[in-house]
Amino acid sequence: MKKQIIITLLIISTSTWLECKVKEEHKFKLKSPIIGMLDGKALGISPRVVGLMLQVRREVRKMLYGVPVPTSDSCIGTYEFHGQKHSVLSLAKLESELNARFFAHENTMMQDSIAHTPQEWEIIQKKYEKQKTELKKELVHIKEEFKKTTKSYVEGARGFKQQMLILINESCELRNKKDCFLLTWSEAEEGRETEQLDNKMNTFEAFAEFLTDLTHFLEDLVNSCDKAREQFMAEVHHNKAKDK
Amino acid sequence: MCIITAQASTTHINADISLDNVGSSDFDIFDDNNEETNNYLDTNEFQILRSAVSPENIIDLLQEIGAFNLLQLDFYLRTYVLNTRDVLDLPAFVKNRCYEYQCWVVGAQLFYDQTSGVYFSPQHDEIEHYLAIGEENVLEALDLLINKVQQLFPTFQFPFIDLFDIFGNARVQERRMGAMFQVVRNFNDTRFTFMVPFYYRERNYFLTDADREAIEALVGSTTEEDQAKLQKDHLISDKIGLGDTRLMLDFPCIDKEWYCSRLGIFATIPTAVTFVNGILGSSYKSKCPPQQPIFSFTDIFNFGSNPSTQQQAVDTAVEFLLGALDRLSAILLDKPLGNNGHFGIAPYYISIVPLSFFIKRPWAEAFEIRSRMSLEYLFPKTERRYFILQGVAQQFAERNFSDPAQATANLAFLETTFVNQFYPYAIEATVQPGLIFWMNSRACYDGPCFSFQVGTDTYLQTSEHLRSLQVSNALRPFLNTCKEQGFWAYQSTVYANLAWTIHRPDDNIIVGLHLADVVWNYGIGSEFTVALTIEKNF
Repeated sequence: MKKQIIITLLIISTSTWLECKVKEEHKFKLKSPIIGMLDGKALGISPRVVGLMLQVRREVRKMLYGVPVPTSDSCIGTYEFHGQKHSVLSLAKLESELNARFFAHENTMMQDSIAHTPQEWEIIQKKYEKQKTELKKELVHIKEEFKKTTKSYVEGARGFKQQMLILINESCELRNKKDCFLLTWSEAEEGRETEQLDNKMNTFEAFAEFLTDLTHFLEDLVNSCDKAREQFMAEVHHNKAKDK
Repeated sequence: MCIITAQASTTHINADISLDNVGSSDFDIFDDNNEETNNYLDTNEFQILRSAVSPENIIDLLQEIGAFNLLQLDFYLRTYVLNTRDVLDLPAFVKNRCYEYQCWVVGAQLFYDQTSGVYFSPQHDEIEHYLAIGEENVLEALDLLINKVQQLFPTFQFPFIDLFDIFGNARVQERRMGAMFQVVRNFNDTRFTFMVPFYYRERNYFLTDADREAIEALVGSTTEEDQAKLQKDHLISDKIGLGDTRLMLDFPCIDKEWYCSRLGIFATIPTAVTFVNGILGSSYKSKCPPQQPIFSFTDIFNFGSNPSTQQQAVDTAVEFLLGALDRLSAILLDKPLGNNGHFGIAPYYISIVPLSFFIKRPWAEAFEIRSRMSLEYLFPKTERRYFILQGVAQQFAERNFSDPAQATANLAFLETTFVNQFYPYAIEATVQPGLIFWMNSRACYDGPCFSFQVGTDTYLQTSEHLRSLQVSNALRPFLNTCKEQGFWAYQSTVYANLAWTIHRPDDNIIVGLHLADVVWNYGIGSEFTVALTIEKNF
């Protein structure tokens, strides 16, 4: 009975969290004095850095939610899995449902009055493992894509780690996410960030949460750098005027 | 320091676009469906560039962390050469025994002379009176700068203020030891004296054990080999060789029963020559070229921004700071043997008052009051002296640091100013040393075998003057000559001599001990001297 309640709660909670809809989150303003020292500075966070952060954020959101469908709130995933378009979030939902289904099935079999043979258990286990492996393969592929997407940002931020850590810490604290993987990832020794990602990020659920935290952090950082953001927006306008 | 400057590589982006006419806040840059932003992000490839640190970037950052305030404050409070008394002028070597009945006196005095704190200002021997490491405005500016740097680099922890506090107590010690060779010859009434020292001179920075422990507690301890290397390369200066020669000639002046005196003249010949430099330490004058070094903030930032070259940035900074320490050591520690090559000439007067004239007792016949006075003039000579620049704050005020067109020139100015703060200019100048007044009085007992003397010694030297600075006309008005201007020196010493004469058929051998200690001093360190005399009269 206890196990059933846990499984039900698991399904409800993950389904709620993994709702595949792009949500506009509240953006925070970071108060660290680092912002004041770097904002708008050529050696700090310049409009070009804002551009890079927005590019990374956009690509990460594409991975997370998919490509936005014009004139609609929905998105189309960019990864094909079992003949369907998926995003990281929808794959995480799939993974969660798979787990929930397996545990539910297992639970039902255990409560059955008929005793199941070891072969029957093995068939269920193998089917579950096969689907898990397929998902893991897809996860490895997507993680590789993520590494490529964020390569220039991660490499560019090397040597700037201390400052980034403070800002990530503040963002996570404001969002009440003190133990998130984003912190672990950014604390990794310079050049070994991808190892952390390979070793510790083994489920779509965790990966989706990580990507969400990353986009939140980038948004908070851009939102906090008023000068750089204004300069970036001016450049966007200027670019538009030039095109016309 | 990492530099995160992103730059669009496919499309040139002008960073200096005015915000006046663009209505910058009329769209949401986080909107995924915003065509304007998407187009812009699609058509530009952004990269974080590390190598292209522009002068404007560096100026911005230096201004932001408060480095401008610090650069406008003088690191050197003074740049003069510290006053010291030449070995020839120590009371231990005053020869005014009555040698009239002798033809020749040949002797040597083995001596050890130590000054535990050479004076940096008229009444202080702590280095904080020479460098501005204890100055409130400097500490405030430094504290502000450290806070700003710590905001950027929270793990950056270096206790500059605490270290300055401890280093402020550092002293400069001097030790001289060797032998003073003396020859005295009487030609009837005329007496000729020749003196030349062969000695080892060592100067070093000194901190008490408590201060050293405090430094170790703050920054950790290093190995004994590292410490020994640091001391040899940067903290000790020593040399061995001959000092200046003194030739003295005096004649009887007054010869009464109750008073007799001699009048003479002496010359100090600059014969000082160094045989070996840097035995336990280094020779900083030869190690430090007189030219100002080149320092590049651009190099430091470029090295520092790349993790693979960060160590190079640290090495460059450490090399610069050790070079600055060597320049300081060249001023404070590297004192030549002799009297800086100045030729000196002085009249002197010796007086002898027998006690037996006042006290008619047999025992009083062995007692005398002897005095000696001299006034030495040292001839001018060209020496290397050190100067910082003045009017730096005004130059800062006159510059427009926000003008991009002047960025390169402004950065060059900041780099030069930074160098000049830690490396005073080394300039050849004609130095006119001050006059030296020297008076020595003692009560003497000369028994058949045993003799002793107790006396006081007064030494006064007026401050030196500089002229004919060998420097370009462009630089001359900026040299801060006031901080190079030294002060007069005064020493009052008490001393005692004990001697034993061994009478032999053809000659006398005298063995003696001399002890002297400074009891009052101004502008010059307090020293004590121990000397052992061995002398043969024949």
